[in-house]
Amino acid sequence: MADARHNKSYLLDPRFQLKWTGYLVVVVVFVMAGLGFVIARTAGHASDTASLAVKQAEKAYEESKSNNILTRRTMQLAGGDNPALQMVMDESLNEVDAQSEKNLADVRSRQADIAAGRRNLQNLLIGAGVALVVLLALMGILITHRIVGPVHKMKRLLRRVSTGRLVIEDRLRKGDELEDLFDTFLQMTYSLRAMQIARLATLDTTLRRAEATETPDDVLDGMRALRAQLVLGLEPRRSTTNPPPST
Amino acid sequence: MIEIVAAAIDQLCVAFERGGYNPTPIIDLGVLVVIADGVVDDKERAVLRDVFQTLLETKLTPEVVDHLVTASVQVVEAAGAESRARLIAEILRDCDAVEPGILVALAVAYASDGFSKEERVVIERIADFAEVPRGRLEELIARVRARADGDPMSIRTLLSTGAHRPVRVGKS
Repeated sequence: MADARHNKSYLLDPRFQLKWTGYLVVVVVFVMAGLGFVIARTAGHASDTASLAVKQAEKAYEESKSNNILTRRTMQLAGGDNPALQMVMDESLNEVDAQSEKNLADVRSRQADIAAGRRNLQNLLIGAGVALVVLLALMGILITHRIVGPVHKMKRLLRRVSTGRLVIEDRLRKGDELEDLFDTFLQMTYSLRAMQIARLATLDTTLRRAEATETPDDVLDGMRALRAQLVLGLEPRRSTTNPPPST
Repeated sequence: MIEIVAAAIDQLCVAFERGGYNPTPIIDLGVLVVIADGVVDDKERAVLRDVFQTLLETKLTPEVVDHLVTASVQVVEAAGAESRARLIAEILRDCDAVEPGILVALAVAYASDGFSKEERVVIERIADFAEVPRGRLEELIARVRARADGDPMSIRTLLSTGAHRPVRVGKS
């Protein structure tokens, strides 16, 4: 039941996993904030330059208009008896006006494009930042799970060994980290088990000889008690429905 | 009391077996409780002997019991009572056997001269590590106290006998 519960959760050790995932996310957020600041400032400069260009274009347009009005009046005063020249001048001045308006409209359009681009860049940065943080958090939990999983399992198996249980059938999941550590642990249990089996065999032989001779009961009981302790780690406990021998 | 203690030990053994553990934490649990006041008296030694015999399914001489108690006490001293209590609590949690474990500890505590303040501290510590709410612990204490009836020896007898235990299905 406990295994099933643990296998379903990716947060086996929330304190450890969230701490390291948090560190990862904080570092990335700081880096992103720094880069975002530089990008925002660069975009701000571009926007300011565009605003300045619009102002200059407006100023140039106003000056052009004033010059054209002045030129027209001069022409009226100087060449009022020459309608052909006046017409040519009017056409030319109208073209200059149209060109100035077009230039101003172009600059305003570029400014609007730059402002829209800046907004899009900000939205993209914020969206990408949020997505990256979420992705990093999930990746952090998954990656730490690959480490915490084996540690969690090792901890449980070490607790089992601490109770004297030397038969370990659990293995790591495919892709888990710390395989070397787990293998070393398994080798340790094999060695301990081999020693325990050898001790048990020695004791069994001695016990059989003792039972065949006139060995006092209390000595035999002591040897059997020792055997009961040794055998605990090597084989499952028998049913507890059998009461212990009465004293 | 019979049904409480016998069922608790039985549940513990089944739970430990299912969880892949040996039942030795019950020994440590009992020792932690009896050494709470710093002295292991004859009644407590007798209770532990009953528990050990039940778990090891063999007859134990008082000397062997003393060896086991001494070994367990040395482990507790080396590891620290708190660390040992945490380990036992983690094993009980891992086996989903926290309440049976606490019931056995309470039974051992009541089996000598009642439930002392020191024993309460030890059991509360184990319960805390096992994340048992204090309210639930008090319910378990009241449950065992109600059955103790001021007759500690009857509890000791209950711990030693397997005759009253429910027969487990599927076990030979």
